[in-house]
Amino acid sequence: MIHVEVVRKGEKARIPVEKVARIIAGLAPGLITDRVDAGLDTSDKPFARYAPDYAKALALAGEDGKTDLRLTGGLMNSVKTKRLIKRADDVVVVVVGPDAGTSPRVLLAPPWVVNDPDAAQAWKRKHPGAPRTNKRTRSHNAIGAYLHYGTPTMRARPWLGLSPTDLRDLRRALGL
Amino acid sequence: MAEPPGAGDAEGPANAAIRDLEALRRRLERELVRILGRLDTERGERTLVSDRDAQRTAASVYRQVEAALQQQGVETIRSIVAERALEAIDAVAPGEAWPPDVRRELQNIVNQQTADVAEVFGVAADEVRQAVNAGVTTGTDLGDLVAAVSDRLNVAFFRASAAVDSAVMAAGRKAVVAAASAIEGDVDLVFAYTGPTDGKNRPFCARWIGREDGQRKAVTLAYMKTLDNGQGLDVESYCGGYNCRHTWAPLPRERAVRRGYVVYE
Repeated sequence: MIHVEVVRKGEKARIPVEKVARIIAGLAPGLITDRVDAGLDTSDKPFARYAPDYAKALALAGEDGKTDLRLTGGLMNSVKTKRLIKRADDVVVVVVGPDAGTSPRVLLAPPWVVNDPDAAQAWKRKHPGAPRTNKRTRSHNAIGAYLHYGTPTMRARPWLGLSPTDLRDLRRALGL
Repeated sequence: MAEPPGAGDAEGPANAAIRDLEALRRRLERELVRILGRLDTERGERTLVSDRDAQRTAASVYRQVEAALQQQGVETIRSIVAERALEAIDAVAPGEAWPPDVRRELQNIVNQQTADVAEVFGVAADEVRQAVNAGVTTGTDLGDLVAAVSDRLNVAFFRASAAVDSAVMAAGRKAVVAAASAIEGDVDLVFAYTGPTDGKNRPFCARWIGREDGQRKAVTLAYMKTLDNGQGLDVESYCGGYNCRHTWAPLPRERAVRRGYVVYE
């Protein structure tokens, strides 16, 4: 959870809290997707690169190799303001994140294919691009959490939340 | 593998729509196999005969196949898809929070999706008719014909799922753009075109993502409304078209310029 403090204790709010919440709701999804698109995590540091076999599979499918947590775009496209909850006269919680929907699974070459030039060429001819299949991925918020926290076989790439630069830009937009 | 923290999720309406499509596909397949089973076969064999009686039977079978696709396919799917898409939209854009024009545009997305799915099933009905005719004319094996029809149904449902996915993506983009538009008077806002830059980019995406000239671009809301992706689809909601992997990221202008986006207005 990100805490955006817009008034100090004892001060009178300069901007109505509902307006602050609306501005955060309007900007937070874009700040997150723009930062992730630039390959930066929630500390404004570059994401860990993709595993070599995965990067090769992406290249074989004609996808760009940047670490932007995208394949079909379903996860990043699902990042939005989900709820505004007014907790008190001066507290509004803005919930931003990916939804519980799914995307079609994409067929990518397995490691034994990407590491064998002949097999890779045969795969490319048989499966041009990264064809979508009839199978579905796990939910966007589950995938988002796996990417954020990592798994035993995948490095963490923290992306859920606002980075120091995102927060600074948000405060500027709020005129603080 | 255990669910990571934050991953607990209620099923999204889009998932439910896809599951409904799957259930409908299975039901339709069973129905078609039953109908196709009525085709006359040669004595003791499963090969279709091509005499006049068989042609007549084939025509009658096709009418039933078409009716099944029309009634169960198009009509059922129309209500399922429209209902699910509206649920998906309500999940991201609760009625009271959005102005009427946004609701109207979201409804347009649903209408587009419904038309897409109906078209998919129209094409499927034609293909099934061709398969049945070919099967009867060439005296093919009944099992092969059932398999051919099943293949065509699979393709149809794959396309129908893609239409649902596209509509859900479009509704998501629309919700983000609408939430940002609501603060246009308070923040100097632009919309950056974000997503992959690769050989699969459509011409529209290649231009706006900067694949053509190496220059990433952002637009004001007013400028976005003048853009045309050449697909007859609203750029705000569909970006480059169906299955587009790109997204509009609403940003304060200052941030967009600092990040190197050129702003069109």
